[in-house]
Amino acid sequence: MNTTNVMDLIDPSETKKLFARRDAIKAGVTAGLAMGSLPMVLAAMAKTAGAQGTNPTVNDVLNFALKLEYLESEFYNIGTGLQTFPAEYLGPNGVFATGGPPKAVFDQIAKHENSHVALLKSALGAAAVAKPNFDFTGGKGAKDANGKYNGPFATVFTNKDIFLALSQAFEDTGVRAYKGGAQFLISNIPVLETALQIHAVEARHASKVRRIRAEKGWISGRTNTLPPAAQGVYGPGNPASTYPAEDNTTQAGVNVTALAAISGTVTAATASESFDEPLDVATVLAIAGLFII
Amino acid sequence: MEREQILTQAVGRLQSEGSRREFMRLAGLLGGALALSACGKDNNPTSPVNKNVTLNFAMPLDVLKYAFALEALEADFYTKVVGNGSFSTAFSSAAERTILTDIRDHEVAHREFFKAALLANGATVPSLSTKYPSSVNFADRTSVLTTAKTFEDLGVSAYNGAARYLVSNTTLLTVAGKVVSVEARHTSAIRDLLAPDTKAFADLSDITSLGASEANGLDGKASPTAVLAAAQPFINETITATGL
Repeated sequence: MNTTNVMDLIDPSETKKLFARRDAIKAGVTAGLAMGSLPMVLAAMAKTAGAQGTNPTVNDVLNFALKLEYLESEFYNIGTGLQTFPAEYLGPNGVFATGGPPKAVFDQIAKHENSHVALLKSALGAAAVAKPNFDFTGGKGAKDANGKYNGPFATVFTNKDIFLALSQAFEDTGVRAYKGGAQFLISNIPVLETALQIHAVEARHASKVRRIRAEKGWISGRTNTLPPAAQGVYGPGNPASTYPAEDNTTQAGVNVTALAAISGTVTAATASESFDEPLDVATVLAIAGLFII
Repeated sequence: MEREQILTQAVGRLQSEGSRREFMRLAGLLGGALALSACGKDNNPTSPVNKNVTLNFAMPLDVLKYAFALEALEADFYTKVVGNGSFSTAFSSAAERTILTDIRDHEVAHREFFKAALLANGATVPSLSTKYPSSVNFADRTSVLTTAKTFEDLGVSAYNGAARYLVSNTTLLTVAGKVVSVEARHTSAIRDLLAPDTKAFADLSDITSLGASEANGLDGKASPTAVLAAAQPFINETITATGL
């Protein structure tokens, strides 16, 4: 089996620092430590040590999440009619016209995204960022002669296919964003857990929207039916070694395609589908930024 | 050796019948020392006498064993679903068969991944075997999907509840995050097969017992103790969580 010890994932210089930080290891852990678990624990400490100083704060991550939730909630509130249809968009709203997607699904998604906005604003209090102005046509607020946003997705609320494609892009990006943010919330376990609970709900949404669009509920490689402008949703983040593209098949140093499957070894498609990938803040904001004025 | 076999049988009977009195009667025949170890006072999971497993959540490798146990259960379940002689009649839709086969392949990959990660770090892989209550009918679509929904919701809640034991290791925390969202994708699809195109795919109101909140849009988050209690009817060996 082609596997790598988790120890190999860390910078050797970090391991050296650890021996000066031995008191940081909880006494109980040390006392109960089997020899075999030593490399893992050391790797853990190194990761934490190396993470200090340059990372986003808990509030940074929460505000980052809030921006995404603002985006999702406004998108679904317009689409489902929870909010008055804005005059800046080409209308009338035709997303749920006869033959459209099941509205009950998107009512449920809209409800959750609004709950997430409320929850994050409540957690952040006065530190909460204000809601950005969005242009879901992707045109950064540019308007045509009739005063309508006229970006590349100008028909976002009149053409259900565009609406659904953006929905998939937002949900799958949301899953990657929360996953990437979790590592910066380890100092606050209640916040970490809440973020993970939101993360899983976004994944439920993503799976259903993908299946409505006749894709698998899980992300298989980088093949998808989204428009070219949205391909970054499944691409690598920065650095790609930490935030690989969704077709990644190596996890914690383990080559998943070398592992046993029902027949032979795990295929690249299954290896990709079985693990979702995180995305860094900057890459997520670049994707979301297409829709922020 | 003979004493061990007798004791193992006694432990098995205790678990299957829930009869502590019967166990104590049999254990009494074998002498006090062995009886104590079989009562679960022995925390050594590798004891040849006691096949039961104790996981210390203060140790990240034991959290990996926990993940392995849950994935092994799911993988076994879906392997039996897809391998059942009635699979194509119980699931007449090819699209549904593809979903279940995909999920089987994912759970097998998860199981093998955690096994490989444990071995790469010099840890032992728990030896576990499954059992299914008579209510689980592998030839019946509704029974299969209802059981699958239970497993997937439990899996999501288990990972979310175990994250606090991985904050010392962001590599493992992130790996757990990579797996849990796939489990959430699974439960969304399974729930949608049971109640297509309704809010069921993400109706969190029926898993409040797993820590979910529909009002706040939060998925499940359950303690290892609660998760293991829910999984225990499907696993022969008793798994106990410590260090919580």
